[in-house]
Amino acid sequence: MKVTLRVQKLDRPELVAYDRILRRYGAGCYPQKPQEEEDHWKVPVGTFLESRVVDEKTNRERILTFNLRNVGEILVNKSTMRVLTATPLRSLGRNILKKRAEISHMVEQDLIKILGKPEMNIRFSELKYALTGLQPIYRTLNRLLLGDYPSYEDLLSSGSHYVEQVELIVDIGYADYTERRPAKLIATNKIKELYSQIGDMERTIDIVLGMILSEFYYHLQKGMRVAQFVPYVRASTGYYGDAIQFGQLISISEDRLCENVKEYYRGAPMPPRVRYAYPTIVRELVDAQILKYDGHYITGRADIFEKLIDIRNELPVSEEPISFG
Amino acid sequence: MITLPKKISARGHDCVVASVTMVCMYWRQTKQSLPWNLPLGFGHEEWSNFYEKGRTYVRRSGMPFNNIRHYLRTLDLPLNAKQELLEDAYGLRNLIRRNIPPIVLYDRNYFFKHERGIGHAVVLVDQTEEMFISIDPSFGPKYIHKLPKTDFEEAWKLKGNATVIIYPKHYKIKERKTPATTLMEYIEKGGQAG
Repeated sequence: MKVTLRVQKLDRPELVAYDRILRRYGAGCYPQKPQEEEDHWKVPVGTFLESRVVDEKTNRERILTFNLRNVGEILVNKSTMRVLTATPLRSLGRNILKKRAEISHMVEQDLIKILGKPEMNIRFSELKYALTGLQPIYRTLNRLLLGDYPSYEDLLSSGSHYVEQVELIVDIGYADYTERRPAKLIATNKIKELYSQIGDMERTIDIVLGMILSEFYYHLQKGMRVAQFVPYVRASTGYYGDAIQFGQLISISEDRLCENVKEYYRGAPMPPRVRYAYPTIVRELVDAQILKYDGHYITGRADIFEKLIDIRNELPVSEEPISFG
Repeated sequence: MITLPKKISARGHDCVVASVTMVCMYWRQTKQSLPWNLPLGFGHEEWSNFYEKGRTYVRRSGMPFNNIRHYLRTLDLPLNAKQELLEDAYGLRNLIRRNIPPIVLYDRNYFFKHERGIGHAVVLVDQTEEMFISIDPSFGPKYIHKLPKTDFEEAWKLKGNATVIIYPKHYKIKERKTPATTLMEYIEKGGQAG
């Protein structure tokens, strides 16, 4: 059988680029507006990345697409209208991951800021494994509230990393060194007032820990290499990230949460020695009042979610016309 | 009307692989004299392996069409695959008339909501005066989705009128190239292409 098809002549840079996109990248990508250069056209490539969010309790699924721009580029020769160079598929895939990671980072950053707010009443001391890495801060806060003011030499004798962490309390203004020698670390009026308002030492420490984490999380993680808190933040982001995309609090299983974290942080290395079991992480996050149990499922806190939901408008996301439920 | 012997449900980027598998099954059933290495029973495990293997070619950016050709070649099927940016829907009508089911890529977001979005692959199996009848893998278990021609053509054009044609190797499919911008369009736009 013979069939003749009338096909378009590739005489426009965006058409040449689109033909290349379909052949080498796939239908998820699209050519952006071509830019004219000396002897060629530069066609940036954007991509639509699909994301599925499921509320496992009600069995409803929403399909969203992220519109990620400038994930690659195709150069088209002006005289021959052929592709000069194009981003290889592997690099394009990496760029897509990077852009996706930027979005996860946005959610993570906002979540950390919110968790650090005193009115959220997060009980950070319930995150037992995280506290192992933050012992210098935790112990020092304890001593300060008990009126046992350590000298600088005393702190230094535990190691420079110990002092570095303690100085974060100084940085947020809840402790200070005396000017008189030998220098001592003393509680400031700020922490004393907070303690007298709260009237509970554990709760006061939780609030200060929250402030430090919200302010210095990335410094602690990358600069001081204190990574014990990372899995908790990732698990929380994995949950709230999906809830934000869904547009309301959802109920998901532990396995789904684990999958979410893998998806959100694909390519991001997990720091060594912090691979905690998910049942433990979830239980502690529930104890810390960051997540909640909903029968066999995991759900979030409405007040945290309400403070986060505004991010949804900033995400380059649109909902597929067909969602399932 | 082209009858696909089995429909496959798929979502996301898997719509291309599902469409390719359904079309391969169609050719397996209609061209039984060709040297097939896949059984005629479509419930057979080899067909599910065929689909699963196809899914391994899907990337984050979608299924590159070159991968479809590569995929069919590695399985040594008596079929060829071609990806073309057709001039207009005449080509589609022509293919359906000749019982060659085209896999078309259209902007489903635009079709439903008039907002640009991701490309979606479906198999066209029939046409009426005003509709194309498609088998849409994302609409399982119903699958049949009627696409009003004018709306479909708009959404299809946004994806460059992209079409994948899978056909037996002994078929001859030739392309005749026409300029993307016709002379009339060129004059209407004041002498500027695109």
